[in-house]
Amino acid sequence: MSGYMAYRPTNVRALRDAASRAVDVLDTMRNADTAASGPMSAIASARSIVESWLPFLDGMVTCRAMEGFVPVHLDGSDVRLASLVAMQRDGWTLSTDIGSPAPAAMTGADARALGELLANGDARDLLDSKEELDWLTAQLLAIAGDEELQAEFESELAPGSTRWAEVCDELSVVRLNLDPDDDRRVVDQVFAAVAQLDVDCSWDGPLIAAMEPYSAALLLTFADMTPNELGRSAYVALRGAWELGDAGVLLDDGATERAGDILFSHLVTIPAAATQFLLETSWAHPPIPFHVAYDQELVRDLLVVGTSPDLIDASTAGKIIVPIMQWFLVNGDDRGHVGPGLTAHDLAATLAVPWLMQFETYSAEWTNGDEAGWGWEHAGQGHEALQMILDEGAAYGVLAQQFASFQSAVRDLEGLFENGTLEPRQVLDVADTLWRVLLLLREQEIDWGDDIRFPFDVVMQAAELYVGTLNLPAKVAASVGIGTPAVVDLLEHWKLVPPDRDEVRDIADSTLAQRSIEMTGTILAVVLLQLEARGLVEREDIESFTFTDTGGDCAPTEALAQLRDFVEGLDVDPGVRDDVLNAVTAFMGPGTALLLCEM
Amino acid sequence: MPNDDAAALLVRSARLTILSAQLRTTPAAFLHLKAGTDTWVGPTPSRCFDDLTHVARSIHRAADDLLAAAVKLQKQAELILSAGLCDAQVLHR
Repeated sequence: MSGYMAYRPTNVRALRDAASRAVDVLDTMRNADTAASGPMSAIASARSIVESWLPFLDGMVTCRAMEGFVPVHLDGSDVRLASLVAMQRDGWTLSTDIGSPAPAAMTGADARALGELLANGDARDLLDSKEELDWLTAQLLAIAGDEELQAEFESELAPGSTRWAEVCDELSVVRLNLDPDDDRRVVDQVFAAVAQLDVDCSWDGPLIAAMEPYSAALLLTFADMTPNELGRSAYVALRGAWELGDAGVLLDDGATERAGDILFSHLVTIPAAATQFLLETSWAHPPIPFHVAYDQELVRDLLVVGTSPDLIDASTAGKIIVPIMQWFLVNGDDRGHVGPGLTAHDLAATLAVPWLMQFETYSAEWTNGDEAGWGWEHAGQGHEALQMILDEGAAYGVLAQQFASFQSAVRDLEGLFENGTLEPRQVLDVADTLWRVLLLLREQEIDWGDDIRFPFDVVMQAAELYVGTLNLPAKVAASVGIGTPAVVDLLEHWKLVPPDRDEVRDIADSTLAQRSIEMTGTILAVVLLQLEARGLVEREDIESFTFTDTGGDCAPTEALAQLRDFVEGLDVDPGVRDDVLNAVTAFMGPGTALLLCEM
Repeated sequence: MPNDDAAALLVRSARLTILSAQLRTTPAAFLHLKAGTDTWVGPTPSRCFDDLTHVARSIHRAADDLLAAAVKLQKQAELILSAGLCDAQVLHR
């Protein structure tokens, strides 16, 4: 209330008259008794104080404009003046006040006045300075911390009122006009205070759907909700962003901080909320996560956290992943305006890697799903989805890179042990999936080799047409024509010729052989470390092994022989040794190694 | 003589008692009730209210002090009167 004063003229006049009479009465009180000297001195002091206010009170009923008390009429545009505006409406007179600010302890009337102003004032004018925002934060927090104040406030502005949507949207507009690196914190504090007022953030309430997705995202970031509620409300908010366009109404297409960016940053810190959000979107609108955020790394983090095998079972993951993959199979990377970096294929690859088993060997788990109707449409659709992912270069990189680390296999290997021994069926299933993916990678590499070669072949054909028009001596044309060894040799020398199909295949096969060795070695390492954890093998025995490059013709055969020799030399129970040998053989048996060399 | 002294003390005591009672009902002791938020709000009104509240407290404290002084004078008078009574009894014996 600093800077203004509100008063009732009739009451001020009565005060002025009473003060004047009080001075007169005190003047009549005299007593010269020495025993009364102390009290009489106090009376004189009191009289002097009262008398000192008389000139001011006299002026109040006339005019004190020259002394800084100028009559004013407030338009209600400053949220800090809510109480004064309410009083003005009730017939009080207002003026400026040059006095020092009074310490403000909020009253019920103050809380009610603030509620009324937020409910009925022009939100844009109410929140247009940092000072007002700071003040508003403090007031709302004070209200949130006091049941009586909150009840008074809510009598004017209920927690479920859609007016909150307008207030929050205006806060968003203010936020977007501030410096992203610093000043926006002022607005975020107001959102945090609003959230503490128990404003209705529920997914089935009217408020989240009524406000701009950007505003809803900010509010939900501070809302006190269970993970499931948060995930559902986040879906409602971001569904709005998706329906309105990639960025919503408040933002332009190039905005780098959108509703999705704000909410995903929050959801990744609450994995159960991330999972619930993805379940909601996959059930209704699978593309939503891929459209509503600018920062694609955040989208990836959301997918990783929300579908982590450490947190959810295969059935839950399938309900999220299968609809997304089916959407990708139909729509590809059609995502509108999102930030650079990861493509939709990259994100799909990220989503797939931890659940490769359900794309291939265990695809039946995700086929013809439960009564809710989700699932691969046929057993091979998971394989098709992987092929689709690999169709795109960068996504191939993501899958190949992550595959090399065998994350999914490492996770699943815990399930390979049953009653302390390796479970042969599980071992073979994991090996089956990994081999399928290895072969998919190889096929893709060969296809790309053909793609690279294709434009060169077209150029060669065009050149041949051109050469055919030249009037060359027949002998020359026959010896150095297009495609003749002399020309091709020269082009290869110049490094202008892409590898031919045979060479591409050789490279892909060599890569496959190397990957198979890495895969088998990794599986063996994981199995041995798990055996060590069970006290069945010593760490120094595990670390005693190193591969030796013998320079032989068939690297897989060489590697397999070394691995088997190492396992057979381990000082372990014979039954355990057989289990480990069987695991190695499941991933690369002697026949497989030979085949790899003959490819 | 002692009776004259006691009488003078009792008169002073009575005047202080009357003044104390007058103070308790003087308008200045209630001014702050007219200067609250029913009348005005703002920094200056708040300062005025604080001042007038201080005035009211001062007046009530002064009234208390006057009454205490009056009681003290009255006790002195009673002592004098009771001492005079004792002297008269001794002489009578």
